Amino acid sequence: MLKLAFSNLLRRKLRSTLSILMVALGVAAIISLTSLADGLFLDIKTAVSQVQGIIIFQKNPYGPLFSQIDVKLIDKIESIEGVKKVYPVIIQTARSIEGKEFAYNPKSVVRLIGSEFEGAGNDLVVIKGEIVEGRPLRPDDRKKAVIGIEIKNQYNKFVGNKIKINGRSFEIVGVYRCGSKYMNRGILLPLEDMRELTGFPEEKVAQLNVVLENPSEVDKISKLIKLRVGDKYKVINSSQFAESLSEILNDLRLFVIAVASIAAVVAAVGILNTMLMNVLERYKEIGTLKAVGWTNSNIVKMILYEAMLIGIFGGMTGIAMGFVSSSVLARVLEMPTYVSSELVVESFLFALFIGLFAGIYPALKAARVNPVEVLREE
Amino acid sequence: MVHSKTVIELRNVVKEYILGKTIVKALRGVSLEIKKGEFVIIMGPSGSGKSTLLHIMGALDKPTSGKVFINGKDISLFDDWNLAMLRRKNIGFVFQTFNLVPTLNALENVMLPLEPIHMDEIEKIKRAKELLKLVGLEHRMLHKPAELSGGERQRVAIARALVNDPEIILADEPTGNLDTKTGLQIINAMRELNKKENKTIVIVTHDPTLLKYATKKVYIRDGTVERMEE
Repeated sequence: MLKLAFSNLLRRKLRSTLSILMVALGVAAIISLTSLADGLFLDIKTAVSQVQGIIIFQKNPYGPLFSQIDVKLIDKIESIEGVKKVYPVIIQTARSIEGKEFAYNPKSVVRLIGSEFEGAGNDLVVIKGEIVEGRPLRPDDRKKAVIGIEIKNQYNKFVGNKIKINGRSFEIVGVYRCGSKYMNRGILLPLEDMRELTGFPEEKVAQLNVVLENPSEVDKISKLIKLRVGDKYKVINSSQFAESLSEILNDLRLFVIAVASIAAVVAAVGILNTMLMNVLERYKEIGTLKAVGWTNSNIVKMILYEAMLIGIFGGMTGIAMGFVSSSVLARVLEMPTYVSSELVVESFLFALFIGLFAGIYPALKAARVNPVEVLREE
Repeated sequence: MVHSKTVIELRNVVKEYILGKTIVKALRGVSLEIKKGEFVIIMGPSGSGKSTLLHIMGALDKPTSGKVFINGKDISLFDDWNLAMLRRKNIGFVFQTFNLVPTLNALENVMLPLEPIHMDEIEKIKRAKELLKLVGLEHRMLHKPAELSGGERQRVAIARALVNDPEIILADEPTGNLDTKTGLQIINAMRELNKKENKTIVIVTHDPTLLKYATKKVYIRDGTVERMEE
């Protein structure tokens, strides 16, 4: 029956190819968009996982970017047992690097991270990373910077060179690297320099990073901190941060689902049209099949097979196209894309389902063909 | 009680169609009995209801009233599925326009009725080849209908009608689209099936030259049996 269905599709090669292409385009759109969303999510998740300890920022309607916290809170938190140290942090994106202004663009944005640095070993305080060249920042450093490896590569900088950030010159004392490409586009600066550079209000910082005596106590101490600082502040650890980020990214997924639904409707209408035409053209043949002993369900099965084959071929073509378009997107947008095996399987099943779903009506229509009526037209 | 040798029996069959707002009476009370191994010709002008009669005998259509028995079973009680099964096992149809699938070759066309049946593919091919041999087309089995002559196409259709080994073959104007010589070949092929395989053959036609081959002649006019000759 499958062989027969296949040969039936070959009768109208152009029509079948067009509807296969419709499904393929839908699948390719889903794969490339989802791979972009997944790639972004994966990158941000790794970035977040590079953040140490517990983070505290102000709850406000504009999100963490606009958070302002009173530095007096530091002593309050440091007095909690189990807290090793609290680091005040100001994070902002750079307006210009080496005199070149850049408009906001996620692929080229540079994060400026100002904090109080200890200068001990490889500790970067706010990032889980390591110094690969030079040294970390020390408490008495002024006009010094530790740059991320991506910045070093992009601007071709070495330890001892100067780098102009927002129009002011800083001496590079070290280069760091961490597990996230996103976070490797950062520059660590002494807190007071950062305040000057960004005009952040005195006695305020954007967030507090809490380092614990024992990292396994993170949940317990998070709760204690929450009690101490009250509900004006959000207290999260990096895994919770990742969760709240994934909530945002779920919105992105919803967008992808919306696109997928449109693609699904378009593809389904395409298959429906093709299959209806196929059935209408073959009334007499269907009548003959019934006359030679095919049951209604045999007819339904044949038409559903045909529709399903369109889905299968469309799915396979779409997956191939999706791989290509997602790598093209990655190159053009310079953004990470990630095609998971689940995505491939899901899109294939999606195409198969669309095929079957769109085949139902034509199949029932074919089953309802009255052989007497169509055979009488001789 | 239906006679054991009777394969088709119609009792006072009436068939009415609704065509727009008018009711067309295609059959107005036809009673007929066809025994196993008979070669029946149903003769009548166009519009006399002979095709309707054939469709009802072949379990393709149901009568408006009256009874139809095939092998003693009242098929008016059958649902769609059972009717399809009856056609599959007991009846082979041959049409005036052959009704072959243009994209399939002769062999595949003959195999079509076997398609929904659970049967080994090799077995299906073997069976279809046997029948193409029987109708003298074993050398043409990989040809598509467009590459075959009218007579060859009708022989493929006959092979298709026989593939499930039905005891009844119903043919609707089987020579209608063929020249006299080819038509005769087709009729001879059917006569052979009738004699050698003891198949019951019912042919609907308006061609009086075929009458001489019949063991039973049924004349139909305006939806009623005008006369019958054994």
